[in-house]
Amino acid sequence: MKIVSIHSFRGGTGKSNITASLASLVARAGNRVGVIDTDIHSPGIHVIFGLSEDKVGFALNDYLWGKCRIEEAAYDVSHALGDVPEAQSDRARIFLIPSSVRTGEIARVLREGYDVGLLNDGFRALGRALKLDYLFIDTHPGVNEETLLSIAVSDAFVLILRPDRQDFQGTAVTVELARKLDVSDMNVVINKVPAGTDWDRLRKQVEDAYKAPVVGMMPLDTEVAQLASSAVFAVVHPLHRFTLGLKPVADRIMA
Amino acid sequence: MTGHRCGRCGVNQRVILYLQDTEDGPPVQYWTFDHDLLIRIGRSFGNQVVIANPYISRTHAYLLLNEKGWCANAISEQGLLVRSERVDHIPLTPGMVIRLGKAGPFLRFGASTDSPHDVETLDPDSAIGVNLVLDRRSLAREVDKIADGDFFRTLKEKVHLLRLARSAEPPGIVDETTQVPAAQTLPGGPR
Repeated sequence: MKIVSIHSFRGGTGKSNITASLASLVARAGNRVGVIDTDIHSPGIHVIFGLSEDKVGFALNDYLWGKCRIEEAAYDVSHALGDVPEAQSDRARIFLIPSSVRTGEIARVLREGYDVGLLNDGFRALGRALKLDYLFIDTHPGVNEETLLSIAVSDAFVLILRPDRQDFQGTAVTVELARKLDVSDMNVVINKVPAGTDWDRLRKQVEDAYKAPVVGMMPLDTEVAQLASSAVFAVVHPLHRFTLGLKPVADRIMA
Repeated sequence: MTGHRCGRCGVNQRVILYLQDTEDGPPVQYWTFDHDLLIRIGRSFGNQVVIANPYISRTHAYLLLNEKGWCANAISEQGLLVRSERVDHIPLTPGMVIRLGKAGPFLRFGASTDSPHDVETLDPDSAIGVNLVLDRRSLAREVDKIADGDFFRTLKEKVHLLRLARSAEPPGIVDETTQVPAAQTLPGGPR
């Protein structure tokens, strides 16, 4: 199983939408994929996969408090993959491990933190139990211990940023810290690129600054914003430029 | 020639082109042309309207002025779209929006009375990131502040242990008994 952590320094970069779309592209290629929402402070990716809160029994929080095994907090959301090509349909599955949306549970995490070692054990147990080929970790924005550890135990790290100065500078801090933790396979995705931007120049600026490859660039697009959080965009709009921008990222993860 | 009228055909020659991210979105860039009979649009620098976007061809379209007015001609196979309909050639009327290819940005053909100064344009110092520059001194200060503390040393030790635990695990252990129900059939447990 390959573990891929998806992170952004700031909120609002489209991280959860990108995670959902990337994971779905990888699953539709004929893989068993898990998506784990470790953004416990502000969970949200379950909405994109159409998992309503009343359907959620155990959540990741319950595993971290020792109330259940991690696979008991997993939900098969393969319906969100749409019509999978026949050649891949036998294996293509996607499972979501949501975080609890209950404010009490969120407050407890904020108050007490959680055992990252247990989370790491959970990643591996989940991979075994669900026979996963890939596990995507949707991390909490910013730089904190839990996130840095999740990134450090991943096989691939995808860092998402918006092309604005504040994000550019903050992301650089994350890049440097990840490098000090010997994080390998660091990849940058630039989302919400405004129309009129010189894409080649922007890519070069980011690659020169971070010394890491820009593996995907997606435009700022109101269609994405309109659909955001109601479905997996790459499934609903497979030929949209947002999806086309993500495909090389998915290919790189599967390479 | 009087004002911006073509001396040959008398048609108003002034063109303002607004680049938009969406069909009815705000302009993010504009170009004005007062004395041109042909405006080339594309990704390469030989064009008058250069749009660096991977969904635009090197030479994507021409706008031509003839005796009836301005018209747009698709040069690239990516073509032009008006209200989602593909067109190869179309007369332009003020306010018309054309899309540069199926996945490209939009260009609004400006009325001759438009003032480009009234439109909202991008602040070169803001979101578009024309010149994203790292403050390396500030970066080094912030990183050192985090990396030199006890927090980060402990973190590195934890990472080391977690990696050891991961590499020590034999691959390919599969619990064949686990069945995950579809989301809609899951029995409700504690939340």
